[in-house]
Amino acid sequence: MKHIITMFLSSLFLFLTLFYYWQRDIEFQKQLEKIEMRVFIDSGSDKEAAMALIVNTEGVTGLKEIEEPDIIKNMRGRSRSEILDKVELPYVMGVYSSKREEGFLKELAARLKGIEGVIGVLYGEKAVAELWKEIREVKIILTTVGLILLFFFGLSLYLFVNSLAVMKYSKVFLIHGKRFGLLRIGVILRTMTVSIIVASLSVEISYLSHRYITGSSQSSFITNQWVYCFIIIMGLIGLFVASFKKFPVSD
Amino acid sequence: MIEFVDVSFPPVFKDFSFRIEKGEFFILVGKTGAGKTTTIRLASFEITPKRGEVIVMGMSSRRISIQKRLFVFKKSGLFLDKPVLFENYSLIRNLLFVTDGRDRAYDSLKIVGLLGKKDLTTSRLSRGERDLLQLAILYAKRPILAMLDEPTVNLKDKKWEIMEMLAGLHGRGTTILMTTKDEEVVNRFPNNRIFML
Repeated sequence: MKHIITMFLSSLFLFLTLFYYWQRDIEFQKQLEKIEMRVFIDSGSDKEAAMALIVNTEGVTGLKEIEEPDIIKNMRGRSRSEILDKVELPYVMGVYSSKREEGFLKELAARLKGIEGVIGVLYGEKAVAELWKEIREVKIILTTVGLILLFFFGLSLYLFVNSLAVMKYSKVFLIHGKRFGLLRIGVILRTMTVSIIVASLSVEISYLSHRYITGSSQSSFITNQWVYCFIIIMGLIGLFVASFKKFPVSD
Repeated sequence: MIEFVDVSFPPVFKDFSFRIEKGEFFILVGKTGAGKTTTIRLASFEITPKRGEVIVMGMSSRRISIQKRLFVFKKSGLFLDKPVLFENYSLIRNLLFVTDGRDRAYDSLKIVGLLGKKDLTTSRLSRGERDLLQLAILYAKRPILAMLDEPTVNLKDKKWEIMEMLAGLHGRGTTILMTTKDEEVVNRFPNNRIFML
């Protein structure tokens, strides 16, 4: 029983880790979606040609022209100064990239800067670097915690298999010359069932706690796809441990 | 059927040899610590000799594997010092594991006097009854080779019934290797080959 409790706790904390990662990943994706490049094209150059080159650049998925901000328009309208009228501001383009990795954005910005007429590319380099640093840190910490919990889950499962009465029966099978196939199937079925039940219970308890804490059934819980994945992986760990566990026939 | 060739297993044996032919009733006699149990453990490949070779049904201890042990045990029956049984199963289920014949299982339990307890869980049996169950299983299995480690030691009041049972098994063609320290048994079965340790 103690092995099942350890297994359950490992599974529960593992699922909570996964849930936390899922939530953080959604936040990160939202922040990444906000990343947009600003490309500045010299007002004296051929805008259409520069735009065509930008669109054809590898990694660019969209381009939109950003109109002169209203504040500038108002300033031009109110001011009677000829100097302000004569000021030619660069064309500003919003560029969307296919990927939003830090390195990719850096490379794309360098490529765009090489286009004739482009005088500057900005995408909030410092903020992007900070965001990716945070993503990396979260991933490393959660992966480490996940692996440790997975190890404890596997270990408890191994000890659970060891404590199964059928494991001891391998000696009976041996002294009567019976092959271990049936015994192995029994061990696999028991172990996989326990793994799946423990994993499902972890999901159920996490879901109920989440509903209790948020107070709403409409609040977003980890998607079914992730839940099925989690349960299947736990079942597969059970299959793996039970398949490779040696019978104590040589004791 | 069984051959020990210059077997050394310190500190019990040194260059120990004997041979049991097919169909023999072989009694190995020795005092406590003489190596009776070690002989059975070696013959059942539970342990392997430090030097020399043990050959059982053509299988050598030098190239033994689980598969080969399964081959030997499929055709042989064991009576061990520490019985290996399905503890949570009933007596009859233990017997039905080695024989398909329900009648044979009942007969075997009847011979050893455990028929009345056929539905009892094995773990509830006394030490002597566990030995009787081992004998019933061995009898029901009808092995070509039976290896018994002091089968009468816990069943002194039933030793002659046990010996009759083993004689019956031998009469059906089973080769028997039995260890004992009981001189009465040795004296009562003088026709069997006896080996002193």
